[in-house]
Amino acid sequence: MAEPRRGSPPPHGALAPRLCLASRPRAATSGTQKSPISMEQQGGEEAAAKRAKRSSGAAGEDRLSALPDDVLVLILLRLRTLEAARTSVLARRWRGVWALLPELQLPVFPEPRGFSDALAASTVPLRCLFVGGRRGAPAASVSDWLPAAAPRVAGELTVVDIGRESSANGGGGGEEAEESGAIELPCFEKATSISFHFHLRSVGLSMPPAGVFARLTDLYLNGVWFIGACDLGEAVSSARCPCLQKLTLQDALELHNLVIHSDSLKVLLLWKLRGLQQLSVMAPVLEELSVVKCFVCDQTQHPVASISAPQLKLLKWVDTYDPSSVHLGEMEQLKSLSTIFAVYGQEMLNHACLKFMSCVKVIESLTLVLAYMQEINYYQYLMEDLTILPEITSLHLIPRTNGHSFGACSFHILRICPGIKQLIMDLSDRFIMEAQADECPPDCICGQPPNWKTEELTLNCLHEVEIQEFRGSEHELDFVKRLFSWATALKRMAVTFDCSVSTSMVKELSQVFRAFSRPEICMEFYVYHKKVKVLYASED
Amino acid sequence: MASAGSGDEKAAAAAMITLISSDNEKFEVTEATATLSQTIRHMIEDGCTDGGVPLPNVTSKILARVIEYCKKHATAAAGEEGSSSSFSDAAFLEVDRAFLEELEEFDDAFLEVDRATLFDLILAANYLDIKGLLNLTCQKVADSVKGKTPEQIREMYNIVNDLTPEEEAEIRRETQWAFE
Repeated sequence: MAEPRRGSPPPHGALAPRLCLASRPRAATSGTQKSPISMEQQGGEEAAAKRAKRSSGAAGEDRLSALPDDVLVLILLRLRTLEAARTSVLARRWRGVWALLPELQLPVFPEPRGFSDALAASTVPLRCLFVGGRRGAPAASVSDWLPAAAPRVAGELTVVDIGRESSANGGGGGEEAEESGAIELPCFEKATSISFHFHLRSVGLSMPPAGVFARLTDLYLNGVWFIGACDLGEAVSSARCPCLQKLTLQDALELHNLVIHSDSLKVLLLWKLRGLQQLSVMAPVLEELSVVKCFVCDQTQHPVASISAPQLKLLKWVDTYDPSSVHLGEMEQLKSLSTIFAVYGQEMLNHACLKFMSCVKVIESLTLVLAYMQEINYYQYLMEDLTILPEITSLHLIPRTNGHSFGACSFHILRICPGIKQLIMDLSDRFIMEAQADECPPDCICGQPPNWKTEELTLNCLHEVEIQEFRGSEHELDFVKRLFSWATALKRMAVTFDCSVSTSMVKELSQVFRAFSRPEICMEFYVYHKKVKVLYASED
Repeated sequence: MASAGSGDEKAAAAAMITLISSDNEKFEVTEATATLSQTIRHMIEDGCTDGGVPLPNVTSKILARVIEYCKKHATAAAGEEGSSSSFSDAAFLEVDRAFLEELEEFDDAFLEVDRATLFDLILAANYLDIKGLLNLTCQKVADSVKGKTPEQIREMYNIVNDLTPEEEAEIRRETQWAFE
């Protein structure tokens, strides 16, 4: 407690106005010798007078350069990093100041050689190094400066390339991977977070064959394909990533086998790895696992997975599933399950979902995507295959309807889980194309079987309903009207209108809801105001 | 905890600290005001504030300004603690927002000083370790050089370029990546 806490000496000697607390002989002042200020007392007055004289300031004096390094760093931190670096040409005093910055954020990819040398010229730990932007850069240029960054990053490293603007527009362009070279990732021994985000590109990434990412807790890799001799699974397992808690792999290619043994991993998100053949996870403290569109599945290949995660609480599986080759161990802590069910199509699409529904007995919440193809007339209706659900408290349905009615399938599901307390209907149907008409043709079979329109159902535990991104289509209104009659004990309904719904329509639709509702039900309406959800207050 | 805490707070509110400027002027301030300075807070914790706290490198003119800042912000800090305790009433939030706006206006007006005073405030804030004041004053300097060329910055702050042309060329080469 005795030492002054801001007493770090300025790195350079030439800093006049800061008190030099330590170097003075300790005067025997009253009280303790602890305080920097009482030490300063004797002999301080002379200096103070000098200082006072200086601070009264003749015009023309350079007060800025006279500030101590740590204050100049505070000032430079408030500039863009490129501007801060340019101050090095001001005068000799300024040459090395910017190199003391603990955060560097470059919104463009810098010329790699020069940036590499600049990184190497300082040893100040970086709590944040962000390099990225829209213009993009050949991956090799990133490879050039990463080795110089590795010893310095003691916090977060983020490299983002969101693609050139030309390729960013045009809806389907994202599917084509554009190769742009390769990156060799050096071992970042002190970094806590590493994030590579190559959107609309695919960059070759090779993991370092040796070294321990001793402090890494968060690794995010998006838009890369894995090359090189080092296996990703080995690199992220406990032996080389002893602290890793969250691993996210998205849009990655050439990852056929992923074997992870981690004693620290809590969250594992695998999204669109497109080409995964084998997944093996041994993670005793894993709490969240998400596997979405990863496995190859055709006549010759089946997904092979072996998951041991006894502490798992959240599982999302939107992927193929083969009960003979996919093994999910005991998941007694499971609270939330999220998966997909194809309402029309081929039976095999639903193997994963049906397996989960039969083997999971009790959980808190179940999320089901109900998927429709655009053209359903020649396909089989699959809902009858779904005969059992886990015992759940909360049901979250996400109809991906392609313009079809979701009344029949929702009715089917609600009928087999009459004990739910909460229902969330997420109608943010992202598969509706702008150009496509909102609704299917009148003679479409999607309303079949028609029993949902007439048959009674009593959901007498259902107290709370949330409807998200309501657009007000006929299909939606038909369903909502029925829901009110089924939910006999409903206490609260919250409706959020989609941002595409006009203000006048919001008013009209909220009146429709009130007409369906009963006095004991508390109705709440929300709208989006500048992308933020706010409570809708009707004028009357 | 709650009752003991409030007792302590009352005692703290009553406790006054004397700050002595370099030109020997004495300022009586409450402990709550003084402890916005981490340096003084540590001195109080170490029990070495009896007989006043000499601040040999802060003039009375600057110390008066610093105290003005601390008084205002100490009230703000006390207000925040009070409101976060149990009331989240709309009325309270409204009061908070009005107070924050007032505080912002105060800060803006506070920074309406000549450049010499600004630098004196920076040095005092750094020496006394008053984070809010240091951030505020450093931001003001940063804003003044934003978007300026090196030549403009030199001129604005009377920075003498003591680099030889060779040295300057070398540094420009080294930082070429930042000038692109």
